[in-house]
Amino acid sequence: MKMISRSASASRVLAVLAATTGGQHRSHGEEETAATPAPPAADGKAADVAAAPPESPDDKRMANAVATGKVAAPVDLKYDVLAKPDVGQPFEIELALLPRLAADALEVEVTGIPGLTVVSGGASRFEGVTAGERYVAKVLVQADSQGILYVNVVARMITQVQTEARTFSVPVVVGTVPAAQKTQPQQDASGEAIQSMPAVESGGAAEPEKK
Amino acid sequence: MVHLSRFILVGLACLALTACGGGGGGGSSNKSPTASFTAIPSSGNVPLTVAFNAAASTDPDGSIASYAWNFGDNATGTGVSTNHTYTTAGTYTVTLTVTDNRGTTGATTITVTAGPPAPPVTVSGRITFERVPFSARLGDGLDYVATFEAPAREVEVELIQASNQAVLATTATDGDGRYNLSAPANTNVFVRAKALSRHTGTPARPASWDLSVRNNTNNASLYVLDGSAFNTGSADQTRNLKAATGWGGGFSGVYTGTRASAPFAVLDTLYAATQFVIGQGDATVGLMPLVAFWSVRNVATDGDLTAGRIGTTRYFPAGSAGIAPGIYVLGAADNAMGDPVGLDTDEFDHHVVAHEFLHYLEDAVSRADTVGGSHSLDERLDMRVAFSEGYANAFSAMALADPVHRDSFGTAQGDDSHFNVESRATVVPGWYNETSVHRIVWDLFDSAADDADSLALGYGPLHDVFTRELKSGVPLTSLFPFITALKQRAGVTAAQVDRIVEAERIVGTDFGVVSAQMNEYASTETFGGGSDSSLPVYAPIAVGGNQTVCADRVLGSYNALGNRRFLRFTVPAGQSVRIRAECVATATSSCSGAPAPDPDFVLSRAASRWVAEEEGTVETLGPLTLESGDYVIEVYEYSHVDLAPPAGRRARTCMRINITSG
Repeated sequence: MKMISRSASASRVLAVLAATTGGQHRSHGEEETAATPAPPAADGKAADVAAAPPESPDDKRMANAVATGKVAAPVDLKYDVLAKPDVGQPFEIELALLPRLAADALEVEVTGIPGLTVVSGGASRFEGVTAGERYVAKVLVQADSQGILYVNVVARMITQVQTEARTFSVPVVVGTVPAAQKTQPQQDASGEAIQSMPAVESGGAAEPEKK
Repeated sequence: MVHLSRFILVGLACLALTACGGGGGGGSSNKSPTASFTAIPSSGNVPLTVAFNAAASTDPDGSIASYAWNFGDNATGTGVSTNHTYTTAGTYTVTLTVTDNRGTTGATTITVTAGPPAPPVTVSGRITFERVPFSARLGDGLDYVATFEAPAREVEVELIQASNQAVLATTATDGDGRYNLSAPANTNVFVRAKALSRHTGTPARPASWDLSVRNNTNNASLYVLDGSAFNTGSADQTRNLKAATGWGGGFSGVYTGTRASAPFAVLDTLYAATQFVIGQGDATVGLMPLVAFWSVRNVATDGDLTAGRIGTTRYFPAGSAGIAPGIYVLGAADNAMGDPVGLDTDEFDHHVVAHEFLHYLEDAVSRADTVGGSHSLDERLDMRVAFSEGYANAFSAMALADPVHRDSFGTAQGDDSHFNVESRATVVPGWYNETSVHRIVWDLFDSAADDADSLALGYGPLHDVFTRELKSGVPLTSLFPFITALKQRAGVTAAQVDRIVEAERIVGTDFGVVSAQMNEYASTETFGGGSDSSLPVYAPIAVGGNQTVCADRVLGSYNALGNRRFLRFTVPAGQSVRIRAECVATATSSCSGAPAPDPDFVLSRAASRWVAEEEGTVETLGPLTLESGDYVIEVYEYSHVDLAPPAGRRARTCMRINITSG
């Protein structure tokens, strides 16, 4: 919205439908968090307001990993691939977990995929998690093949009430990735694009009528 | 000897072929060619397609130069072989005339008998999909061993002619997945079930809907389930089509085949939510089309949606720049198919899908002023976000008749996050908390009497307020106008609603709650959720006056409680106004420091909005001619709501808003 308004210098007033605005905001997902929610008091009343912490300059160089949508654990992820990934050469990925609420613990589980092996740092645990702090985990991975591969991360925020989780996929470009070949989808008789999937089928001709 | 054997061969050919005949005398210098051809089949029901082949025709002293066909129904053809279709019953004499290389002809005939059309046959069956349920124990994710077959309800089914893909018949399954199609006899066809459910209202069934599931990584192609080709023959046929999961076996841990059931599982959840709205909310509702985008390539990272980088399961409304509107659903999982591997696929997480359906429903029949953004159960959020997300949580529970929200993830989807919309309390209850909202809405709905809940309104009154006051009211969409309007509904006992609301510490103080005094602008709310920048919920301002409000990022940025402040004013009679917002220093804030203050605001009146979001220390709007009535202003310091502020975020910032005439 800001970009629209600022680029349209001739029009300072922009009337739009509410639904559009709400949805457009919803489409944003790369929440950059630097907040410190006040921890709740024992009686359920929120405690006094805490001061907002300064933001880490490190966050500026790190890409946002995931957007908004369904209910998920109050933690965001920024990541940085510290060396150019190449086949057969272990490389490090820095993960910065940014909790938006306090928790007893934060567990980070990193898994590879076929073609991408987690060499070390696949599991981390941070105790006494504070909202707004950065919790950094470094993972050493090794790729066996070229391409766009995903390192999958599960972050679990653990409190006495429950464990909440959020998943992230960190894209890693290994080697030289050829441009994706766009293929035309299959079309039905009306020209609509379809993706055909095979059915598991049963049945057959009906039994002849008995005279 | 040679001549004799040739004669015998020709004679045998003439016996074996249906027609064989020599031409007239060719004179001493040229012998006539012999015409001979086959017609397969030579009888049958119309439409009767007959294959004619004259390859057996011969010329004793030269070669056949041309073939001329007269099919007996005023149609003709050429060539050594050809097909012809008889569309009218009758007996036809087919004549083949061959001409040799010296111009001499020979001809022969056969008779083709085309009978009346064969009676159509019925192709019927059941369309199903495999659904993977959750494990009985919370936290254990999906249970593939317990996979069961579920009906594909009210999906479109087509009978396709195998030769040319022409659609011969169309129908929809019933509530049990059953379909029935009339098919031409003796035709090669296959059955296609589409991930599409739609209905145009009729007097008997006035509601309308149009739901489909498409692949965002393949040109938004519609998922279809295809059976194998078969000949319809002359007897009725049964063809049952099942969309399988593609799972490699109970404990294999990976998908090894086409995940055909996934689109149908997503569709069925959307269908269930739609029928819930129609059945318990509004039997005449006309819903705009909804597309759900699912792909095996949909992963939990942001980026190009057409490449599958959808971030998470989410809803994009129409008007999102460059984005096809709809619900995007995660789909990448462990697989042996060469697809991207992810740890979160949501097609069987029906609460997650139904939650996003509610966001679509907000756009379809109500109004959503929410700004979206990250959210979780214990955060203190912008009241519009808290209401939208909490209502979506409650809606998914209501539509699925299951208060336990589960979201699978992890290796082999063997883990799940979960919460109960009724029993899971929050440590920060209030009007800014989505857990409080979903607990309230669920208690208003459900039939169980517990704690403060003695109400069982069902969905009808909730939907009525959702589609009326919330849609057309000036107050921003939050719990306040929702509860205020609900309490005014006939048959709703306000005191019972108050008790439910009070249990979440809404319209209260540290010393007691006074929900009975709630109003749509929350003017009696005194519980600020621990934020210095949350009360009053709407600060009053008048035309010709000014008001100062402060915002901060103490509880988070973008959509946290305290990021955005709200004001309300009334225009007594239509007039022109100017609105101005600027930073003011107070005892708790300054206007210096980096980044520089950048106040912005949005003026709104129900669905009409005027955005004033220029960069600078002063923001102005107008002159603007406003009709008489109530208006709302949302004001914020831009660095508090910027998703990626280039120069960081300001601390607490106070802003003075001024409205002048003229």
